[in-house]
Amino acid sequence: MSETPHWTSHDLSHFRSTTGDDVFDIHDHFARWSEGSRPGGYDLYLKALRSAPTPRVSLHGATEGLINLASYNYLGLSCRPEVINAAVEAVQTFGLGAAGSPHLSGLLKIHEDFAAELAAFKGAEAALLFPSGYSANVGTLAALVGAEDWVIADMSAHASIFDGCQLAQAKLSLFRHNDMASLKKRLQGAKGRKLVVVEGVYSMDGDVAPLDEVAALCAEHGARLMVDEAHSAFVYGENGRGLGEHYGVEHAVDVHFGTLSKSLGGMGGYVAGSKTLIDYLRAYARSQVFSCALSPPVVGGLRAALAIARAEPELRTKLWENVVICREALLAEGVDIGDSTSQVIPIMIRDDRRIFDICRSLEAAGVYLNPILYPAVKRAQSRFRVSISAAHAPDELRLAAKIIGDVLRAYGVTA
Amino acid sequence: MSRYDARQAVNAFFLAPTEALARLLPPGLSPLEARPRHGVLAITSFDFSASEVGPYAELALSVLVSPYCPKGEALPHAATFPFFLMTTTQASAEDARTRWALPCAPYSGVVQFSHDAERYTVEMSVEGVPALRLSVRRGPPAPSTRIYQLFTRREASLYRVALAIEGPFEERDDEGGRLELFDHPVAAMISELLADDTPILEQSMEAGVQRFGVLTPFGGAA
Repeated sequence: MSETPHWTSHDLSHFRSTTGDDVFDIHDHFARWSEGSRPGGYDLYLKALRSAPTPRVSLHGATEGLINLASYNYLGLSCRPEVINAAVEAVQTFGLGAAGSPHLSGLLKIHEDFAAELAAFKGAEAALLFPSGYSANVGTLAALVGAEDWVIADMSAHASIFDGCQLAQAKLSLFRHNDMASLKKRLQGAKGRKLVVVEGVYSMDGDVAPLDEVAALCAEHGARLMVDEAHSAFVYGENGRGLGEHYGVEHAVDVHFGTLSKSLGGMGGYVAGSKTLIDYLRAYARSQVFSCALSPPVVGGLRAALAIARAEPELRTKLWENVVICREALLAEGVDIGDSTSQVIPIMIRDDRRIFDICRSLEAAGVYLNPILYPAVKRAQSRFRVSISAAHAPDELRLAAKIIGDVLRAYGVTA
Repeated sequence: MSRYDARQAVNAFFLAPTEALARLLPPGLSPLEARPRHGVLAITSFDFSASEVGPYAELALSVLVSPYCPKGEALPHAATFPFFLMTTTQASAEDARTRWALPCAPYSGVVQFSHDAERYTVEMSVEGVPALRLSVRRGPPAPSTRIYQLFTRREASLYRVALAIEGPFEERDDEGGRLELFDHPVAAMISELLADDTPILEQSMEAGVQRFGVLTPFGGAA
């Protein structure tokens, strides 16, 4: 039996919230841990891709043409020629940067047009653009709630939701993941104004919120509802408007949040909703007020990507066909894919040390995936997260599933 | 080093609002947040088969706090401030108070350990009145050595002591632990603090050893 390496006694959760004689004292501890953890497996993070995040990628120092199952380019739009051409056109017209906050000189016509197009797509009165998805959640929550208000959030919600609550100093009540009895209990216990926050697709497990039930509970208890559709917008619903459309409860969602970096393949975040909501956020969502407006080429590309997403529903059809192909191929290989029902498919390894070796073997065999482990997920729930794209060729996905099955069998990891 | 041989340990960690936990702490310590605005209440129990004060059992309630990590010292796995301790013998209670400045309850009770194929269980009762029952799931343990940091208080003085725990250890966070609280003041105190009665982390150990370092004054007045 091999000896346990010293660095495994700690993990990334141990280096925050410490005290010492100097605020930098913890850096030495972290540096010592990093010296061991990097060769132990953490060097698999922060590896630069040498190519665009298309279905095949090249890694620095690694083989060429790896099958890319790690990028969340769900509709394959980030490298579509129309998108690239639109970005080039926008940079030629407006330059690289907006050179100002949206409140001052940074608001360009291209921003106004795109926000209007997004609002129209979402069936909302208005939409507001943010520099990133993270800043959209943080800024929106900090603007909407305060120290006397309750935010009731799913325990598996994204870090940006919790950081927004921190910034707002709101009272935070957590309900168990997708557990409606737990949500009801929290709603009953929260006296005062309340905002419920859930995600559409949860990015670590690939499961979805029971949004119809969430909406009904919010209505019953007088709570506002915010839905983070980072991974579900442009993917779910007959028209791709997201999980709200899928469940037929768009009208019950007060704050529609989404990102522009996933299905649309660009960068940024947005909130869509009523005109009064958006006007308020425009004034008080400080992450937007005090940031430079989105870069014009990004917005130019996003406008083209949105137009394609609307005009080509077959992209969503292709994505869901690919999801079925990949799921079936992985299951046929005996791979444990957890409770996923979406285009995000976890490959459960449940071994926080061997996952690094498995990752290296997958890479050597031609598949690019990222290891995900504690504290990003629970202990012994380590996994790879497969992100399916409409741009994947079916045979690519079948080959990847075969490679994954072979590698996992070699390590004795089976469902 | 003071050695305490543990026949068994059953521990569970629960989310509690940070504000409520902060009220239990002396100045200079702050709750470690496991989730935003939520710290951790730990229920820990040990069945000691041997110690300098003989065999006894104990159950403690603690707040996880930000550890003190000066340059050059070993990084602790976690730091705790026990605010309630009950032991089962007079000698162990006296030892806890005088040697470690621990807040030992003025009464003694029964801390009973049991297990079956799937779970370890600990039950605490005082004068025949049940207070709580905690059970955690069993799994394959792995050898482990961890250093913890314990903060204690005696009147206005705050202390810290390093605590090494070594033994076949198991840790799970798949929400399989169960806590039952009965009609008892200790149970009521726990109930008022908890945000959720399912532990976010369970630990168990069989045939392990606790070693205390030297109790050292820490910071200013508490």
